[in-house]
Amino acid sequence: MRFLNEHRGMLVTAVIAIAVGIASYAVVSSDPLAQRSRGSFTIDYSSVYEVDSDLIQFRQTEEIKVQMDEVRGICVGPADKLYIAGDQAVAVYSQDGVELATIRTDGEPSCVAIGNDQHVSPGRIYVGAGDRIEVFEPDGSRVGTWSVPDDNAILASIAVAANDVFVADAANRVVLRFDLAGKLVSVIGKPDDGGRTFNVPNTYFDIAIGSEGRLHVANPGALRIETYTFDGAMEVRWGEPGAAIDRFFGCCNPSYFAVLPGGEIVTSEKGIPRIKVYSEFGEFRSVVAGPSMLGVAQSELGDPRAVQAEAVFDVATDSRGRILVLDPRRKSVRVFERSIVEKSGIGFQPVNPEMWDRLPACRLAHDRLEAYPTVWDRG
Amino acid sequence: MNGEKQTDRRGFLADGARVAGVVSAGVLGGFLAGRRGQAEENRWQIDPDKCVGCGNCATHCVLDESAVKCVQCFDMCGFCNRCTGYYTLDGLDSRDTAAEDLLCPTEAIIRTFVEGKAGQNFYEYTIDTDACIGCALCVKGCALMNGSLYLQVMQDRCVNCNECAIAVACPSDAFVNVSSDKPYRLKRVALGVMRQKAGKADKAAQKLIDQVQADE
Repeated sequence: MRFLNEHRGMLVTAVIAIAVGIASYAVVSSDPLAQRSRGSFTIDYSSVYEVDSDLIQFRQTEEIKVQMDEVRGICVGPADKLYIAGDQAVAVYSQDGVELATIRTDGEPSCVAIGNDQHVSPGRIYVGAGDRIEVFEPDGSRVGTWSVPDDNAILASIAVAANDVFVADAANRVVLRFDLAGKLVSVIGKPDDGGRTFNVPNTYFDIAIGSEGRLHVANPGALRIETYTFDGAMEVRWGEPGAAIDRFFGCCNPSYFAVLPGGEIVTSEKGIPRIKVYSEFGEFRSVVAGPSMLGVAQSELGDPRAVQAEAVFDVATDSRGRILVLDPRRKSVRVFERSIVEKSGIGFQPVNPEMWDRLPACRLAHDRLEAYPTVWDRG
Repeated sequence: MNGEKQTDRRGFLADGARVAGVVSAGVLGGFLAGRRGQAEENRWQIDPDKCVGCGNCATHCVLDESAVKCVQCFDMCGFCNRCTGYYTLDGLDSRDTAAEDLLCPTEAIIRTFVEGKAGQNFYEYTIDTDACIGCALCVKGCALMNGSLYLQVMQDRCVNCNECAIAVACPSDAFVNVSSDKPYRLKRVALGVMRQKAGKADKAAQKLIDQVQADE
């Protein structure tokens, strides 16, 4: 008691100091202004971030690290070899991920394509670099370098048929058709032919060879995929804009696509990164991977920084129906294969035998897929 | 008393003159340094490659109306019909221009029809600077696609506080000091595009490069 009386003033001061300290801590840690800003100016992406798990029919089975600082494009050649364009080279990997060769290019490659078994020179390598196409034999020896008509070109994609090479120029929004000697044969989407055909708001403008001598072209600004004859006549177009999973998101998608052995089309979207499978005629089939499977956190969606903008995934397919996803942030190839676990609620359509007669491409799909035990067989 | 040093009038005046000289030199030095500092005064600016669009710019500026505004880099814009920086997710599908379908809370983005080609319509998106509050909602939406919208401190509004309140609150250290003679920054991607254009004798691109802080 005596102690309290003697030191009463000091104790009162200490109590007040502790109270003020606790109050200050509470105010600062609650950060009311920051909470207000976070609550006021946010975009809720949860509705597009989450993907119904029943729609996902693929799983990642392998990941192949690529020894490059920057990877930009992927394709598959004969014997399912992987060709990765990046840095100032094309790296060649076996289907199991063993690095086989590195082919140095003059320019920085933006895209790559390989002649398949029907090509006059199977395994010939076509690389889009700057405004030129560099051509190599399978052993890496240089065949030549082709020029494109406009030196402002941005070469976004190459597709190689048996006797033709198609090159998509995103800057001029045209598809160039070359013969095997590098001579320009024709141009699809010339503005002189009644106005622009392709709407390409950025540098993503993918093309691929389809079945029966047709060329698939992504028309990203129109949010669809279009199918042309090699002479440039449009035959089919499909794709609906929208945020729903069976549609193409945003202003301009798909950014990349590839054709499965049976003719199905694998699309890759940016913005809300998601990889999906459609029939050759645009019927939504399934999801390969949603944003989370691709390693993109929901908080990253809409982040203006460059590293998030890099989350655009090129895709390729091999003869086994595997889907190869080039991950530019992890600098790797992620291999997805069909999950053979039966899913419920997807509603697989029984295959109508008459359909194969009407659609040769689908017959090809059925014939090939019989060799592999996929969910298709249970139809 | 005998030990104390006596100071005569002459000595006192001499000491006073020395002190006055030192003070004058200090004042002059300070004046010159101050003028020099004024000539090369730094300004606050946002590095658009570090900005995460958190929204703090709208709420933390000492001014009632934030000095931070959205700007448009037209060379990166796709002039899209379905702009993710203009519409909410629902608005993208409906393309209704009702306020609830637009991202901007103050309707500061002005959408103007440019042309129609091959069945597709193209629109220009400009910012009404007076209406913009710097919330970055459009910046985040646009970042999903082309990323042509980004934030900058408007130097005609900024009072250039010694310690910028937004810089203190910035979660990604995006606020930087830049020279007052080039107080704005381009996104690195846009700078690359502009340099490419300038290399092809595009005078407008060169003029823009000359006006912005162009260090990497």
